[in-house]
Amino acid sequence: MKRVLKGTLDNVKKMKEVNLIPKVLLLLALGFGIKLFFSCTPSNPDPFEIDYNNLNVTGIDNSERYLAYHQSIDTLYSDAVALKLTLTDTSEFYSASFSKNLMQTLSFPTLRADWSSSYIPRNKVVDIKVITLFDVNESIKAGDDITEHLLYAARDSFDLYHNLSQGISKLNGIQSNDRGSVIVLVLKVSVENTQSQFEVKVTLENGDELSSTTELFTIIES
Amino acid sequence: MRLAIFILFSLISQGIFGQSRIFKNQEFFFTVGARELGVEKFSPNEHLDFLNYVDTYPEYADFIVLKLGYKFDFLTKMTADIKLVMMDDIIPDNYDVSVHYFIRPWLGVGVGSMLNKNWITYFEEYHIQTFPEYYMSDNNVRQFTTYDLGFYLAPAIKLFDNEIIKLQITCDLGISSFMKEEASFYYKKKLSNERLYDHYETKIDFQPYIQPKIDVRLKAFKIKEATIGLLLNSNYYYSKRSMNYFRTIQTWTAENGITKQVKPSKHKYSRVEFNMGMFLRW
Repeated sequence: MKRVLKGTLDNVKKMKEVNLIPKVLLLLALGFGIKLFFSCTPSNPDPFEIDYNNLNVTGIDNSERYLAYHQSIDTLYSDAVALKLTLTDTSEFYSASFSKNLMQTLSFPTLRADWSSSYIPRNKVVDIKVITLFDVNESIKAGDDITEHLLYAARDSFDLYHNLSQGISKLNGIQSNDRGSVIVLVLKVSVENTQSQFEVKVTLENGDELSSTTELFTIIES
Repeated sequence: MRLAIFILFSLISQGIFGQSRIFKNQEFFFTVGARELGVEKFSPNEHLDFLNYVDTYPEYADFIVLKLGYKFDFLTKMTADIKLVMMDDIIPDNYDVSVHYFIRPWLGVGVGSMLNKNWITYFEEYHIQTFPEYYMSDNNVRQFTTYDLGFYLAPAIKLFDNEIIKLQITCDLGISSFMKEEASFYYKKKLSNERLYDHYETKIDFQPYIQPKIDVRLKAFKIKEATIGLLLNSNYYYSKRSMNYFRTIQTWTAENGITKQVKPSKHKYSRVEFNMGMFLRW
């Protein structure tokens, strides 16, 4: 009797263990499914952090109906002086914040790989200063700061210009292009000279200063 | 305007199927006609004048006009006349509604309201002519639809009112105004960085008008209690109008805008209409 009872108890114990396995498997599958489900819903992962370490400034043509955003030129009309500022992070794989970016790269939503990368600078731009290296007119001489005579041109042709602070906000915002953050500045005053050249300094919030000098522009009277 | 049609047909349905004690001498009618606009035009000057760009075609009728109407007598001496008016686009977004009280069987006085549509088109030409040193950012033809809302008093005389022929003359004496509309232009100066923004916002400004009307109904035949006949009417609208507006110009940035009120010269504005159709009276 005792032997029969013991055998029965052993069988019950084994049955309990066997019954537990499907439940555990079910729980694991459920957890994975929930994780998968929420990773499939549209989400905006955080933008990659970058550090601006390079500034490039070129002249562009704003004499026609629309701003020639993608074409750099060395000859400008006296009333249509426009500068394109490009800030980039040239480090390999944005190394300064690589590990944080790596974790995000390997995260579940990122591996789904159906969204576009976006980028945001870690150290924001706090100031832009533009100095003319040639006389501009009777009142603005070589070496003068001409920042107050510059306006920010948004890409939309159906828009007026904006103050420089809006251009700085654009540089500090989320960027969709890993080749750099770009703004265009236009000069309000006319250049009464046959040549011009400008030095642009961008100050970041960590104190770093990026600087670039444009090529020598030939000025044609408008 | 679907609501207006719904109300119109609800009233007709109530008249047909409901009690006839309230509505008497009910009439449903439709007409097809032609409307000719005559708007005096001026040469461009310092400010844009929208009425220079009212759509008109000097050599033939400007618009085909379709009207659906419902007319009925109520409260012994009162008559209501509701018309939905459609232009070439067959959208019933115009109307003429009036109520008359007949002091005598042949003499009445009424009040009413009307809404008429005008198209203002190609007014970007003004800017192309007056700002040749600027590009316009948008090269498309500019146009908008403006509604002319009016309210009027209307004395009426019935010259004939018998079983065969009904002839009524009314003369609307009212005020009307174009409704608010807006238009904007972005300019870019040639060989320069300069950008301009030019914004127009028209004002509501009621101005007087006169509109005599003549209406003839001829009985054709009768079926039981219902009379079917021919309808002819005509009207002539005349006023001296201007489309006043606020103009805001911003140069370089949006912070330094200058706004001023502009009152262009008044134009002679006339509208002649002839309509023909049929009515069903019960």
